[in-house]
Amino acid sequence: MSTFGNILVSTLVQGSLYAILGAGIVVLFRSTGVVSFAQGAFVVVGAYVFYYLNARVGVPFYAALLLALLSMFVIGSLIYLLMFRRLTGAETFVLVIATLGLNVVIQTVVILSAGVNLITPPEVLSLATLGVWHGLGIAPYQIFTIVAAGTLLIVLQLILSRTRLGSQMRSVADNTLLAALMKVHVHRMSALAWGIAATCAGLAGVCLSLQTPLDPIGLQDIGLVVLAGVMLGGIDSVTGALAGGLLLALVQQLSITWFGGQWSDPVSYLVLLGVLLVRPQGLYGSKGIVRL
Amino acid sequence: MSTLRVGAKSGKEPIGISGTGPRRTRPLGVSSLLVLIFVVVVLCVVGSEFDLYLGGLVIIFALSALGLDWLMGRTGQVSIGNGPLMAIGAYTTAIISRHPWAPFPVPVIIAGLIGAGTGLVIALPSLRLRGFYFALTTLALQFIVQFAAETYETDSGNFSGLTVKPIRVFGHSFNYGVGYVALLSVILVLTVVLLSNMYKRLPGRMWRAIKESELAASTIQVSVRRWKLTSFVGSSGLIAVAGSLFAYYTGLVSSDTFTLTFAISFVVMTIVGGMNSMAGAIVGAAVVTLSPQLLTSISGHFPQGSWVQRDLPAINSGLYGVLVLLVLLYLPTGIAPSLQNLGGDGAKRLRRLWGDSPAAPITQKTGIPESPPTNGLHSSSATLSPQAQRHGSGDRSPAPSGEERDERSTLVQGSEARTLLTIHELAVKYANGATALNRVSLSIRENETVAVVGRNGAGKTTLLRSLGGFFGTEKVRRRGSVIFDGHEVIGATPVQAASLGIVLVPEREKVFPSLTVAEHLRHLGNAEVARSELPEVWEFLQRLWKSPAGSLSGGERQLLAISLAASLEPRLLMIDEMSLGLAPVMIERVTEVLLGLRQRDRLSLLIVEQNIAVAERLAQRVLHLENGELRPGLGTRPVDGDL
Amino acid sequence: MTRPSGADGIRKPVLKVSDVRLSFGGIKALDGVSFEAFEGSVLGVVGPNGAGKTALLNVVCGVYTPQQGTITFTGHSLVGRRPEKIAALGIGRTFQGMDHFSGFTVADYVLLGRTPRLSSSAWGAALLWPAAKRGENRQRSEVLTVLEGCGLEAYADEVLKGLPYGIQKQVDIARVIASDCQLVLLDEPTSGTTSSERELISASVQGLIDSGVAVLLIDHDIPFVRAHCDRLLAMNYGRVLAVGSVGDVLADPLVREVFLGIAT
Repeated sequence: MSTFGNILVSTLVQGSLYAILGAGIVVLFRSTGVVSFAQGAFVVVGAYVFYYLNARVGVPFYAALLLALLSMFVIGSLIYLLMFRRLTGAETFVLVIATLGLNVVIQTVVILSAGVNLITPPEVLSLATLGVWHGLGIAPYQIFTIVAAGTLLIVLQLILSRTRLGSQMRSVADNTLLAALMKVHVHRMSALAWGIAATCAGLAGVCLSLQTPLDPIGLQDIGLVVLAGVMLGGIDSVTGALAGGLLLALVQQLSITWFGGQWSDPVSYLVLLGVLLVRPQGLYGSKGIVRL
Repeated sequence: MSTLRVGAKSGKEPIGISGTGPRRTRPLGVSSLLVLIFVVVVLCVVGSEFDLYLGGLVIIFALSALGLDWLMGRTGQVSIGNGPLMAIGAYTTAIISRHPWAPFPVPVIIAGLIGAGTGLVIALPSLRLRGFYFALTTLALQFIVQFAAETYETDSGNFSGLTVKPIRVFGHSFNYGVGYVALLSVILVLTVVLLSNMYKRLPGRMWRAIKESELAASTIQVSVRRWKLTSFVGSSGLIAVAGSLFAYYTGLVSSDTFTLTFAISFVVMTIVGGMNSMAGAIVGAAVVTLSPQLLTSISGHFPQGSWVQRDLPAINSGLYGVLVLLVLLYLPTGIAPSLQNLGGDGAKRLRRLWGDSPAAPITQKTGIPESPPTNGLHSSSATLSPQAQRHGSGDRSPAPSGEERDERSTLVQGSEARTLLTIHELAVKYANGATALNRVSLSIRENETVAVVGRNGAGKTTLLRSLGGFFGTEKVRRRGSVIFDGHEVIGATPVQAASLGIVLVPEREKVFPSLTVAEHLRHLGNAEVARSELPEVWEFLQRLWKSPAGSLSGGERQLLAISLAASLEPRLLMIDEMSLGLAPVMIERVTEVLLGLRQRDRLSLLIVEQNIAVAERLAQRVLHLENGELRPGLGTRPVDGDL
Repeated sequence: MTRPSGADGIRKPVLKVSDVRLSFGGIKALDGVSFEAFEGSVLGVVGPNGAGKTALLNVVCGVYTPQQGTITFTGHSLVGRRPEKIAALGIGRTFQGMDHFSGFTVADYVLLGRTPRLSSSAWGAALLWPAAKRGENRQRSEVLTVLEGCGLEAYADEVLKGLPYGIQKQVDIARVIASDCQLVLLDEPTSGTTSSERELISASVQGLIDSGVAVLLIDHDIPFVRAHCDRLLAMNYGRVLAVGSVGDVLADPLVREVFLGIAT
């Protein structure tokens, strides 16, 4: 496969991961005002739960996937109900610190349950490239990741724009007090938003587990790097999560190709810095969220 | 968005601000300093070498935490930049101290300057952005600095880090022990004194003003930008100095040390110890640094090979996560201020404020039988009671004359409808102490329309909000009793009130700008009910069906809002300032709609109006709210003298 | 009321607002507002909710920038200046809700008004330079004098949050008294207060007025406004209905229609 093909496919795959993660962050931010630094931990949990179900218990692929996503949803909602519900209306940085703390706690729980050593899951979807066409080759696990991202984004978009639930969530994002006055159960919507964010992260975790060994410490880095993509796209726009995710992935791939693999992260954070300095609201974000 | 709004703030309570109650901020007082010195002396006398090592480490971390307290606790800026800043200080020291022209304390000073410069650079763009943007900047800084450090180590061949020779002053080498701890303590005490001097004077006031409200501060001559920058630059310099000392102390500077976890641990220190408190920063540093040690010795008691021992590092780092969460959720001011506030005068001063406990939570049906049929008399006489006068409300209006009383009672007693809502001596105060309602009593029957008129600021909106419910975070204090359909609802949240059948259409933001008309009625409300109850409005809204509500005119929004509210099948529908901002034609239209709605069985209407004509047209009874107190509406135009 | 009424050709206008327009999204908060405020005169600003009184205040002190119009204060143009610069020119203001600085003690809060007179060097404070120390002590005692003048000296070391609301508002007025401005914007000094608190606030406001500064007094309480103002600006829907002496404005037919059509 040519370099171009390599970069293109990697960008799509990595960008898909970022889009999935980022969409969860955006939905959560729009509904609750919380910028979650905890997505990384949910990625880890999702990956491990799927591995456990699929490789240890023997649940077939799609069933395991579904179960993993369901459990992530439940976990996310519970986290809200037990923790963040108490912090409603707290200052921004309290919430930031709380999600950082949550990240660590969840990670620790995973380490205590599964150990800190790398676990290489058996190959679930083939890692082999399916032929090469004009210099382009793609493997089944990569197809899966891209399709999963696309599906998730479409489903999210449909839920938000076509369903009763979606309208209720958007109403809470627009004006929480008015929503409550109009009989919308705001706490349920917040729990839902957390559930969605955790599910998104879980899906990203499953996709990651198809291509890399499981490592509770390393896997959760993506939860922070994705912030560069989210800010690039605009933190209150799901479209932004997609665009920003893809752009970030592209920049990363180019850096890896030109400078070497270890430059991927630093460049991402340079992108983040750049966005914050030059255009804090990102490509698609609204200006109002930015200023004091 | 401006924070200079009318009325109560949105209830966000700053964490750790040293007033949990009305206590004066005390920068580290003389007594606390003495305690600190005492502890250090004891440590030097009885501590083992390892204890002394730990003690020195705690002091260095305390310096770093003090820097963060300056930035976060005093000035209110969120930062996870302690890691990178200490790294910058440490590496600068490691590199420069090798040169003969740079004996101690030259590298420390240079490290401080470079740290300060870094603070300046990262701060400049964030001056006008919201809090978490700066936090993200420091996050980015963390990874960039860590990467730069790793790359430097690899490229220069120092794979396990840079070694730093110990401090030499006048030929004497400092190695671990009493001498080192003493030196560090002196530096700590000096820092505390310098900071305290600033906090007690103008700089401290400037930072606190910025922390409380940047926008408001700028309007009263606080040079926000300048002082924000000073805080960034100063704290960054201090943290870099701590990093420099760290390099000397541990003798090894390695990129493995300055991880994100390391950076976050300083935030944990300030939160756990208590923000806006130097004692808190020091206590927090001690707690966070020593608890892993404590844990290690505890785990020694566990059987060999148990999970506790095997996963110790993980537990260590998980520990601080748990600490943070526990403190954030249960001890919002942190450990040190909580201890300080154990003193009783906090409670005494709280009592002076108003004295009463927060409103009772919503209870089940109280079992109170329907109140005896009331007439307008009940409301007016209660407010003019001697109690009202005793509370200092000097407003005296003449008691309604006998003639007026009869007139009013006929209006109401005509119907045999039962009472839906009884408000008794409702008093409402906002979090800042402002009195919004002062012992209001009112009752409304089923199928009755009552209007409350009055000037702005009289408390009309508060009255409706009290019925419609407040969020807990709005920190509103309510006293008295509000019984709706047999339920006590004085402490209700908006969702609870709405589920009982109380629906409020607010004055300003009454629709959701990004939702379409269709989504309002079909997804939030009940489309069938909307269509059957208000068919004319339904028809009218059809041509706007797909438009986002944000694009609707004032009158269209009002119709949409009323339609939505009506579709929720309320027992009590409340509308705040229906006519505000509407053209006369629209007012007429909406009035017709409401009159039609009233034909519905059991629907009561409570409207608040500035416009007396509208109020009289719609309502069977008009009441007058003046400075938080309810008076019977006279139903006539006010005379000149009142203007 | 002993002040001469009417726009005197002899008295200098301190503040000139000319055709100011301010919109948010589609809403016109200020729609061509023009008026003048004079040295030594108290101009009341009244109007129903949404009339634009708060917007006017915020435009003058620089929180909002109008899309059109000019504002000059003692010859300086204010439009486009940052709030800190406008405040430095000599414009002071009070706040409507006292939640902004509730963690301050009374003395520290009033000291905020003396900021320009104090050394603003951080190092000076840190190292306790004698000049800084002396300046601080002197300003503190001057603040105490102001508090004594307002009858608030007993509260000097109390934290604002714990004090009754009426006292907090009096302290706010003490702060502007201490800050030596040439124009003071009073933002609803009586809102949220009970009638007994209002009497004390009234006294504080009069104390401020007696010092001779120009005052812009925004409030809903018409009797309160009548008691202290010699001129009146009546607004509605972002426009000026009438401006002039209190008597003239209240006699204006348009004002009467708007104000008598609403509850008083």
